[in-house]
Amino acid sequence: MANEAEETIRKLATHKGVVGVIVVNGEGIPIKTTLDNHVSVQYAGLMSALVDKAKSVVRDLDPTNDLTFLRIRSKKSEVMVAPDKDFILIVVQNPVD
Amino acid sequence: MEPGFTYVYFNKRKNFGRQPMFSEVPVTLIDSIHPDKSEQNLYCLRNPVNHETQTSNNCSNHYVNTKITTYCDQGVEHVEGGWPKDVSLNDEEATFRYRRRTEREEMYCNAIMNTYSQFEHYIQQNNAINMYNMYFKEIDSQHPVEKYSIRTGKVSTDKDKRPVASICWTCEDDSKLVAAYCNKKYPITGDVNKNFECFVWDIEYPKEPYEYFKPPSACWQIVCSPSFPKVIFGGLQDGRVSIFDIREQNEPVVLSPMHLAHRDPVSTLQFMHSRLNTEFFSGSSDGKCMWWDIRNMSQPTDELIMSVRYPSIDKASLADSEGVSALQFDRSFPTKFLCGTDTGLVINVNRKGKSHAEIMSAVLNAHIGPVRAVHRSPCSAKIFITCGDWTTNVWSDDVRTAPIICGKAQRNQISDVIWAPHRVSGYMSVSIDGRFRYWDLLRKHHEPVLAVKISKYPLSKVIMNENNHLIAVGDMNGTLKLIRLSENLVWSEEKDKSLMMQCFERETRREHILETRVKEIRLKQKAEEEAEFELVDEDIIIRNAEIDYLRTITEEKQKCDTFTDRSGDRSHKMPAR
Repeated sequence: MANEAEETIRKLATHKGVVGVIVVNGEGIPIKTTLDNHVSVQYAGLMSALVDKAKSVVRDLDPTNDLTFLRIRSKKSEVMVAPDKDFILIVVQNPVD
Repeated sequence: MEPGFTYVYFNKRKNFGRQPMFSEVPVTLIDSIHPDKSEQNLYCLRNPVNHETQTSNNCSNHYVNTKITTYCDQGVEHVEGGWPKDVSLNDEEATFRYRRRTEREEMYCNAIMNTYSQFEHYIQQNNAINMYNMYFKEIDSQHPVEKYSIRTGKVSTDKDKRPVASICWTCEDDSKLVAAYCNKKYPITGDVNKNFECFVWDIEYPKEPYEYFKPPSACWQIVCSPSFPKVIFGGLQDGRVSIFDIREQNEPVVLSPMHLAHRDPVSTLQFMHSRLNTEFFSGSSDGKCMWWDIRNMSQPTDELIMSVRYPSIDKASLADSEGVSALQFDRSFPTKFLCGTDTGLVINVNRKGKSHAEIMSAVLNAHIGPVRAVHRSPCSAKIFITCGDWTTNVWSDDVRTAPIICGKAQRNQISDVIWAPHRVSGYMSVSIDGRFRYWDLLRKHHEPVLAVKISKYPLSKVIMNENNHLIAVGDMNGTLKLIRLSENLVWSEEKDKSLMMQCFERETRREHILETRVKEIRLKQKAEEEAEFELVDEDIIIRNAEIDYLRTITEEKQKCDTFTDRSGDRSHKMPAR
């Protein structure tokens, strides 16, 4: 089970354009990451807050609805965030032009 | 107040309003005050007494002071948070171990497995295409392609169901349709036309004619004055030309005199656009064209006999003239006009010619039967279209031998054709099978762009209003129908004009080349004929040469004989010959 998870993360990281993969737990600690520590910590802290806010937005608008995925497109890269029950997965990708 | 009169007692707030619990105590005398009469005199009885009452809750006024809470602004420095208490932040091994532990958890694995597919999808999507980009923003949006279509509008019918002889639009902004009805058949047994009334229809209200006017005999041709909307010119069956002014009366205001009029019904009228707009001319099947001035209708200003095939005495007479069936006048050539005849010729007439031959400057063999309509193209003045028998042909002024564009022969006879005034390459034709056809010379050459059945009866006339783009079509049953074209049929597209000019030029050049080639071939044939005469001469030369030859031989022989005679009997004597 754990090996599978390990494999999956490795596969994600080897996709074309992917800069890094971070798995953050409910308390904001980056559990698994392919980037440096301080960058991961930054992402973890900032993303957790944003995901919470986004989740609350979706649920405020429609209580039966829920946040499934969050994509932030910037000039230089794209950050994709998938919230799960206890964890948050973050993937940073550079767009192909 | 004196302090003796107050009684102070303390009570807890929660005990306010409670039922007093009385307890029995023995009677004790607390104080006794005797009434003082002198004091009593200071007071008097008051009657009435004013006293306010209020039924409400009794509240007590009370001040409260809450405890003061102090606020202070404070920043928080976030380092790395969330670590459980036992794991220190800086202890790498501890954090590592903690991480490893969470990685082993089931929830962690589930989380990753569940979200992996989404991630893969989006990553691949991003790799495939930059979907947040605005694509094709430099390219202009294309014009939407409109389908060709027509809509038939309101229908005005004649009560007596007489065939429509001629239609015209008035020149005002709110154009009305003027229609003349008559049967153009030859009156063999009696007069075919009983009712001579002609109507002016308002296109908004087709049930009843807007106005009507009554000529003295059946009206064959109608033309509206380009300057006065109420003035109408009519050509009548008895050969006269009449002017109607609808404002005044229903009868004609002016009639041309009978003795100077045409001898046959007036088949065509055409207005001449001059500075004063006072001239018009008429043609009839008796072969004459007459020019009239509206100010003085007592006699025609000019006459012209349309005869092309006449014995070369250079004087034309009505005996061999061609009946005129269509006329066309264009502003760009003020001294020329086109005339179509009953015999199928189109004559380009130059009024300023000196001799009759010069006047009939060009004669073209257009059709097998009468030429029903001749119109110059609005885009190029040199090009004109004719229709007759079963075809429509496009001609150019430069080429005299053949039409530059030959129309394909249709199944039914074509009764009228007009150019689309704003669309350079379009023209419309109506035929006796009741169909209205719109042709476009640039788009489809061999068949019409649009062919719609308008009426069960043969259609006789078509005319288009330049201002409101409506087409009026008249048929043999007295019905006038209005047709509206879709926008793309009314107006030409950008490059149409240049393409059309090129097309015409190309066709003209082709005809030119064919003409010159035909001429060349003819010249060659003539040269060959002359060469045959020379062959005959050669025979004589040969005979002469033979005779000479024989003569010289006999001479030589004689010389030989005399020589042998002198030389003696060397040889056997030959008998003298």
